[in-house]
Amino acid sequence: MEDSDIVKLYWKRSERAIGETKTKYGTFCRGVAFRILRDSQDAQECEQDTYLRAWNAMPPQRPSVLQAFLGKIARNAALDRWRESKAEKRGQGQVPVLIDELADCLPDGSGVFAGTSEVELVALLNAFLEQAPREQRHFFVRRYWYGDTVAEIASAYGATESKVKMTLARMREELKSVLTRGGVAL
Amino acid sequence: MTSEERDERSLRLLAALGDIDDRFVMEAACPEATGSVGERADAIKGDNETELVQEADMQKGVAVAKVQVNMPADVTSDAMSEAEGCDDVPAEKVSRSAPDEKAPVDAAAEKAPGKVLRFTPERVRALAGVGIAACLLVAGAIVFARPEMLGLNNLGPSEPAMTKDQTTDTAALEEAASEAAMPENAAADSEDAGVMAASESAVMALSDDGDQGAPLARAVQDADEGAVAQDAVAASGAMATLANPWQECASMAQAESLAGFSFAISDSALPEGYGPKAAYIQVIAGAMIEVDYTGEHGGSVCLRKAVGTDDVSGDYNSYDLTQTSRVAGQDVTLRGAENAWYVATWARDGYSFAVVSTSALTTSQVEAFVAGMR
Repeated sequence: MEDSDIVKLYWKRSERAIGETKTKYGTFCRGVAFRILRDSQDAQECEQDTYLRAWNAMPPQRPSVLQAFLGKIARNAALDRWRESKAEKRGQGQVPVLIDELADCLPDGSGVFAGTSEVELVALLNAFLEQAPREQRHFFVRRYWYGDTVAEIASAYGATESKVKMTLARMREELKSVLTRGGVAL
Repeated sequence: MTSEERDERSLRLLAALGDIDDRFVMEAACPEATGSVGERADAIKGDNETELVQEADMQKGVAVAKVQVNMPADVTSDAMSEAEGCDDVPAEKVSRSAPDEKAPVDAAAEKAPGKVLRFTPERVRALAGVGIAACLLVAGAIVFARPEMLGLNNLGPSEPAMTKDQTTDTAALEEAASEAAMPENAAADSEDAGVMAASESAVMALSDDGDQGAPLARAVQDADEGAVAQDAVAASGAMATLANPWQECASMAQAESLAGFSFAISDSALPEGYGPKAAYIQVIAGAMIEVDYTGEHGGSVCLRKAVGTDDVSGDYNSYDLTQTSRVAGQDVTLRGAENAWYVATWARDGYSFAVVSTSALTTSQVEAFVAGMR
């Protein structure tokens, strides 16, 4: 079924929408959550959560790229679940590693991001990714959006792990300077 | 900066990365994405220099098969997985039957153009085996579809068709679908796979338990009618699927009765051109009421009231401006642009309220909503 037809089902409040979403993107959503959490059961729960959130979001929303829309919901659900598990001192998944790496990107100074709106931050990130070479951008998105490990990225792109690590380190450095130049360090 | 502060800021950056442009997300999911899934598959196949060319000249009895695989099998597998819906799970990679070596025939002989392909006794036996297997599959399907042929209709009805362990994991269903499909049908669409999974699961239940009851029969019937796998399994009573929490209501009174709380919307709350009759009312029992209004010019506004204080707008869009303002005596979170708001949320007396509009609302219109929704 075409994505636009699935979205129409959501707008008609047809329960088939969830079944069709599960059929077409269930594995994708579970995969997104799994990469973040590295726990099959939690990923499955995030997948179910994604359907509920999608159901609540459409209408009013009418996403143009349903897969990305669902992926973002699944990713947010996974991060929410990680926050809960962190509070409960349970499994940590991939998030602590990603957080640790992204700390390299934080501009110097205290209160960073405090006065920066979410929209401004996302705009800077989009501009940063826009100017990045294609392969490097893929590495970065696979790592920090999908939560792939370095080894998984290397395997998927036929690169060595050291190359992926080096590329990501350089991109983090570059992102730090982009955020600093963009006035994020307020 | 303490490590906690640092982690908090990193987490915010990680969360913000989730809102990057869709095309970056899709591009990385399907590195060779150019359009439809089919196009992506073609592009990836081409770039991986994997090609399978079969030419047959029946008149001359010449068959030439050429298989070139210049990429490692796992890379090809991943790329194909992504092309077929970008739904790969790295740690749970699906093994595929992608050819990873030349066919075990005399490659030199087959590469010679015009060479007649001889069928050795081993090949004949293999072909016969495939034929027999196909016949058995067809016969099994016929018996399965018409159990009365073997008098299976009289078997006892009471036992569940499948144990929970057999059915809980949806991944197992997908694997069943993969196994049910022949290699050349590996790219069969997922809907068919779902039906096959349901049928195969039902066959498993029949063979394992020697028992089929009414639930299983219904499941099989659903599968035959094209229902997706989870519907069929759910019909057998073995697996719970996600229930739709919403119930459509004919009136606000009915919605309030189901929700367990009242939801009053004064006519003056609605912008000009909306209402007074709601286009749609639905409720999540004991939790939330939603009322949708359609405007004269095609826009719509969605009003929600729910137990608790969480944001219940259901809107995950990014807006230029998000701010909390004092509106009609309430702290209201507004999302949109200055004096052009699309989402407003607030909490009052233990209930959360949300207004989501497809057209921009002025601050005074939001104020009317805040004052008029109780």
